Order: sequence, then C-alpha cells, then structure tokens
Amino acid sequence: MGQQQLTVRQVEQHEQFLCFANEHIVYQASAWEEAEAIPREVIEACALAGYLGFTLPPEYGGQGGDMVTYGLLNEAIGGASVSLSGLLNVHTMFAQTLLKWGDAAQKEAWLPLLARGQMLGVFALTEPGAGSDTQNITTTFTRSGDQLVVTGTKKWITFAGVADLFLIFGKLDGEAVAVIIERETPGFHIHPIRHMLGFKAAHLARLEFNHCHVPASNLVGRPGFALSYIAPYALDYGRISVSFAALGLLRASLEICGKYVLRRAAFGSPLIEHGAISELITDMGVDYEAARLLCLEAVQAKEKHLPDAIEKILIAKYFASRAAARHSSHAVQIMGAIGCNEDFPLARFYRDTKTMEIIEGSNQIHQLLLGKSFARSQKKRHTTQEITVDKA
Amino acid sequence: MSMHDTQEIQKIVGGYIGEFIGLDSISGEINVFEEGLVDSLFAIELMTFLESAFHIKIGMGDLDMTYFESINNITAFVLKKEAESA
Repeated sequence: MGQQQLTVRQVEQHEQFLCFANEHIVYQASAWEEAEAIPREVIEACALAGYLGFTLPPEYGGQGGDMVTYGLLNEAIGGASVSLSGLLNVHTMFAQTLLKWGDAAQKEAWLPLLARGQMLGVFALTEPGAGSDTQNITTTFTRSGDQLVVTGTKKWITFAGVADLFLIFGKLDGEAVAVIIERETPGFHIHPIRHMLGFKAAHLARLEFNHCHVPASNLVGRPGFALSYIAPYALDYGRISVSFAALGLLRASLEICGKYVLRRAAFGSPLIEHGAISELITDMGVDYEAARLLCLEAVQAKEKHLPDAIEKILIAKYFASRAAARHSSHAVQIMGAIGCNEDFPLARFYRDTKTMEIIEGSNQIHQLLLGKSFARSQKKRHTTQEITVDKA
Repeated sequence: MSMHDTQEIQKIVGGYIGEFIGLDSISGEINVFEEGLVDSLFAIELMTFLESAFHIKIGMGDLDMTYFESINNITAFVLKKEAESA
C-alpha cells in the first residue's frame, strides 16, 4: 500500500495488520477453504487484536478506528483471506447499524459484547427469492403482545454458521423492519451452505424461522425504514470491506506475480522481458494503483461524512472487484500450472474475486446505480457537446 | 453552533435536491419520493447531507418519512433539530 494520502499512524497500523495476517492467516488460509471453516481460535485472535470492534467507539469497548484505517484493516486481512474479511464485514455492518439506529438499551446490551468479539453479529437481508430487489423480501413478522413472531427464510448469509446475533430484515404489517434475533431462539434453524465457488470458509448458511418469538424490544429503528435507511447505511460499510479486500487480493496477486516473473526464465530470459507478460504486469500494477486511490478517496469521504461518500464507495467497489477478478485471472495465466494448483493461493484468489463481483450488490446493480448517477450529473452542465446534441 | 433561518435552509436544501435531480428550482411542496425524482440511495445521502450541512444528528427518533418528503418539511425538521440542540 502506497503511503500517499495516509498519516504516519495509518501506515504503522497497516504494517501491524499485515504482520497479523502473516502470523495468523497467510499460511493457513488455503486449508480453511478446504475445510470450509475458519477455526474459532483465529476469530478469537481477531477479537483479541481489537479488529471486531475496530470502528466502535471506546465507550463501548471498541477501538474508535477511523474509516481509512478500517479500510486498511480489510485490505490486509482480505489480501490473506477474503473469507476472514467477510467476518469483519458482516460483524461491522451489524455493530454500526446498532450504533446508529439502536436504542439505548440495545446498545448497552450488545455493543460491548460485539466490540470485544464475545458475540458475533451478522446481517441477513438476502432471501431465496430476493437479492438486490430487497422490496421482494417475504420474511414476515407479526405482533403477539410484547413479542414479534417471525416466519421466513434467509439464504447465503455470511458467517451465519457461527454467529450469535442476526439482524433480520422482513415485513411487519407490510412495513419493512429490521429485528435482532439471537441464535438460541426456539424455532430458529441454521443450515450451513457448503460447496461455494469462493468465500468457502465464510460459514455461509440458510436461516429458517418457524414461528420464532422474539421480544418486540429487539426491533431496530421504526417500521417502514429498514430498507430505505437501515440497510443502505449498513451496506456502505459492507462495500468498503469488499472494496478493500479486493484491493488486498490485487496487491497480493501483484506481489506473487512480480517476484515470479523476475525469477522465472523462459527462452533464455526472465518472463518480465517477454512483452506479453510485461503487458499483463503493467495492467495489473496500473489497476492496483487506480483501485488504491479510488478506495482511499471513498473512505476519506466516508470519514468526512460527505453525502457523496455512498457514490464513491460504489465506484470503489465496482472498480476494485472488477480489477481483482480480471487480474487474478491474469495471475493464474502468468503462473501457469502453479496458478492452477490449490496448494498455492492464486487459484483461491481466482475463485474469491469472482465472488466479489457479486456480493454487496452485483456489479450489474452497481452499473444501474452509477450509470444513472453519472448521466444525471451531466444534466446541468452546459458544454459545447451538449449544445451540439441539442441542435442535432 | 450556527442557527439558520427558514429561507437559508430552504435555499440550501433546495439547491442540494435540485442538483441531485438536475433542476434549477423545485417547489417546496413537491414530495420528491412520491414523484419518483430520486432513487433508492437518495434517502441515506440526504440524511448524510443534512447532518453535515446543519451539524445535526439524525437518529432512530427522527425516522418519520414525512420529515424528509419535501423541501418545506425538511426545512421544518432542520429548524426543529437546531432548536432542540441549541
């Protein structure tokens, strides 16, 4: 990670994150993918390092980390294991939602436990019949005295297999709501999902709610706002995590390939001397630099609480995930048989980066949002080209 | 903390919404959500804008759609929040 735009403290913290990744993740990550699980002691190590409460304020036991450094944390962890960065992602989405929209009792009850990693929280919006079209969710809550009764199914929920708290989106009297449900709630069943293409160790699960009773006090915010305010607010954090994890994989691909093409020779000269390989490395390096700048601009906008932070985060996620997918493919090509072997990380990068183009809003959804936004932003600009168009 | 009067808030909010939807001016009474002038991300962007521009905090108790549906209602909401924190 280049040091431009970063403070000395941010650079130092990033180095610490990379050291943590080297010690706890890099050499184990492929085995986790094969086992389709991350060992509990690794999650505990993340908790002990303060990573699970990184963005929470110190008053709740968090680190009070800024958004730029949170991005750097995801870059370092994601560059070693995107499955593990998935935990930072969903746990932070849950915690930040509670911090912003929870009432005092909810914050007191759960934020200190989440900050210390004594409880893991996840975000459950997707259903078998509703992905980006969130208005189609069918999970239903009904009132029963001071309880809510929930029925429905959630699917593809990251880290649901080991989570303690679940932020479940559904409808109550036709209005969208978000409700916290605890793992041990009677009638709540968690079914692990195996055999994913990427994020194989991210403990994905399908959740079934069969007339589960939860306290009405677990409702977060007011009915009617869950899909317009609560989910988008959380997804901002999710996209930051994915953007920086993609950036980390891009950096790791470049590190591995850069060293390889200098050392490995073919036809009497190092691979880097071959024009076709040099072109691949050039594009990988340039896209890494561009992704890094877009990611940093996005989190700096978020840290400054700028309204256009949402758009900048969408741009960063769109660019970084596409670049990571494209260049992990090129990295496999450069490395040849080594790239195709699961004993080396590039095959995993190739599978994981494809997944990153899909999660937290597919790239096609990003195109719908960003395309309109870029077009709309030109509407009031009076340029020669516009006059020409008007006269045409 | 600086307080704003009604006209200042209307001008700032109207300018922001007008910029977003690409119009020079927009009636203070138009429901921008019902008219389909804004997309699904606008609500959260508007919230962030109001928090930044007027140094207010929007929390769970402020989640009432009528507060945000038009320039006039947003203006009344900002005046109320500024008065609360004065």
